[in-house]
Amino acid sequence: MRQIWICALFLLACTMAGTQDSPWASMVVSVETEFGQPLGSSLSDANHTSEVGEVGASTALTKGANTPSFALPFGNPAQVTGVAREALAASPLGRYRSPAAQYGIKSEKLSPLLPGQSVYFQQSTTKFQGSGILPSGANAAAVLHDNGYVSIYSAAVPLLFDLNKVKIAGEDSLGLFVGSTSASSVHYCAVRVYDCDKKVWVNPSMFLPFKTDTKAPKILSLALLDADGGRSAIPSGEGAATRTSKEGKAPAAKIPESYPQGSYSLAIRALDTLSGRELKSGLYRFRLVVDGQVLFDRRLDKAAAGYDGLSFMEGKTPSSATVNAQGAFLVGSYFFAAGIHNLELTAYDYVGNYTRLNQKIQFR
Amino acid sequence: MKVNRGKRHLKAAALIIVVAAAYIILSTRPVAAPSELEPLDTLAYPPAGAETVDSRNTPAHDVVGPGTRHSFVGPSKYGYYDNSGVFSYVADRQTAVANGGFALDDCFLLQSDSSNGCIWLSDFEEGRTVRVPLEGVPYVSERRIFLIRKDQMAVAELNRDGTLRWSREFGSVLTSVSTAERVSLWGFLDGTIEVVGEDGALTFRLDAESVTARPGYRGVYGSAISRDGSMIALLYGLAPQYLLVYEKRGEQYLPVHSRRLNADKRNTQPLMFADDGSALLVASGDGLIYYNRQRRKSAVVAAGRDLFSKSDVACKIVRMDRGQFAVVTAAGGQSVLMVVAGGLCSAMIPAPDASDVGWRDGVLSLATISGISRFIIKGKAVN
Repeated sequence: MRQIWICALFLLACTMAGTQDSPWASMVVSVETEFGQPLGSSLSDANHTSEVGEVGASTALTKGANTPSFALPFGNPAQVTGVAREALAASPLGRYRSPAAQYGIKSEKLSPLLPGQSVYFQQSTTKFQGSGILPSGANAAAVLHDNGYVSIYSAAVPLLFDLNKVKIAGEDSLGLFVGSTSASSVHYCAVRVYDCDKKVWVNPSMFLPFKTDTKAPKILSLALLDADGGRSAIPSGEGAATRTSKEGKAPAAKIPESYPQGSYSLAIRALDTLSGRELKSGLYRFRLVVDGQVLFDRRLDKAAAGYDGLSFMEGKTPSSATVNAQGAFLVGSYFFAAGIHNLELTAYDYVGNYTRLNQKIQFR
Repeated sequence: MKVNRGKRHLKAAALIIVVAAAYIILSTRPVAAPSELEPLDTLAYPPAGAETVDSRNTPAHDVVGPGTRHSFVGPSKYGYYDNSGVFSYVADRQTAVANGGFALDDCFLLQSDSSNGCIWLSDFEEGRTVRVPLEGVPYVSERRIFLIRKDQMAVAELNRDGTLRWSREFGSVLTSVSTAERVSLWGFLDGTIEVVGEDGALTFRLDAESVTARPGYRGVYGSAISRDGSMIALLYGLAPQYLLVYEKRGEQYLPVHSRRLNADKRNTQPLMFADDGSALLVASGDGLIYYNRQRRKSAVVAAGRDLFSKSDVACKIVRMDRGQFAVVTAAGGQSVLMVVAGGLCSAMIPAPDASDVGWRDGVLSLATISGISRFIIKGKAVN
């Protein structure tokens, strides 16, 4: 009962926040990355684990390969390989899910989502660096709002903050993008929203009244992974039938070969799409029905901030535990008994467009 | 009889007042003999590139033997030089920042390479460079190598061969970091702090609700941990901001000092414990604050207070010997170099365009636009 009340209050707060006038509604021209989307620089490197040296720390770098644009102090650099490379790729720096959404905004002014007071700023071009000085790769500012939320804005491009301004009204700017050629230039800014009371990161899309996303998200694959080795039991979406909110009935799906009954981890590869000049609102909800029963129904509305990191869709912490090397959403482990099962996965975007995937799977 | 008793009471009261006044004066106004910064030489930067250049513009000084490598971060260049003034590596700072940043100490150099999606880790003792296939913001301190995720919500520590030692994702946004040999302290925007062991295990966590100070907004705006990990200090909260000092008792850190500040800083400020943990120096909106561990008292270092009140102030603190600190501060186009000893500023000189300060083998070095100016300190500061 208490949980229902908390959810109801949370949704009410978000709805109220979203209905307020926000300068972002008119400024946003694109959405680059979405809340909770699997990210990582090493996602494409997942198949490179069989390189030289299973346990070796490093191996010689071939001449001319990956040479940096700056000089190195020593002539013969090596590269980390094998097991060491895989460990780096699996860390929260290798792959993770971010509570930020990155927007392209068409304004030289950076305004907050809601009025509030400035509580933090940092600049990447710090004069000093070294022990005890936080190295910052981005310019960032944080604003505390009356509803107890803190919104954080960060950008890699130079930002000039008004350091003396504490109270930020609706029309005020936190800072100005420096070096833009014109007022119509598009600047990219990552936005995060933290609910201080509930200790959760809130999907910032809630503050942006999208009106022009008419295209459904796309399910690239639904895979069942073995509990031990993490191998895909079902090839990426083969034999599956999909239909979207704009289409009619799905064609009948083929039944692929059978698999041993047991527990499988579910991996979903999906993305939101856009058409023409529309914006994508971002993936928001996954619902899996097995033989007419809802196995899970989870939303990307918030991410809990735990001791060991971030938990998206009630998943494990850190967030890297819910992303695999292919960049799929790992949504938990489920038992499948022997027999033919009908899996129906529906992926919704934030404004309600959806895609449904039907797959019959035989377990023996 | 009554008169004598009255006189005795009067004498006792006067004695108490004198003792109390002496205690207050001695505990909050430490004394220090003035130090003198004597210029040694200036080393002009050579052109950028991996080359060895002898850039001495003065005769060799041989203060200590040559061969020891020192890192520097100039306004436009960074790299290494040795005691005899020979630069062994010089790189362009702007290029490095455009590539994702860099970090260095006397042993390790981390250079981000965003176009290749990796970090280059150079180990000068082992004489090798390793390509680490990770992106992040480099940080090197106390001979430890870190990469901070670009959104400041995760960190990885690397071994010197480029392999992963440990990694950790945070629930909040990192706003401060301080490291010791076996422990590290991480402060966050939501007001929590975490003390992490050398193996990456969480050894202590202080939630915002457990902090005794009650500012209007809870966030960590600076942190420091002593070299032995026995003390931590925080610049905490807004409206008002506090300086909080904790000492380790068993597995816990317990508060031992709290100072309410008059002026807030909304960006991260440096804090540093002395080499022996006897003192702490804090850059704050009120100015430099000196904390004496033995007396558990803090006082504002009067010199340079105006600089710290400016909103664009930037500062770097380094440890020197015997509880002394060197501080370089820049605000509004004005920069100064200070030596703080025993709670007093014992030396202060203008340092135009200074971008780094270092202390090695009894020599104070200051990186400026024209080169590296080196000083020796005459006169011992005493408390």
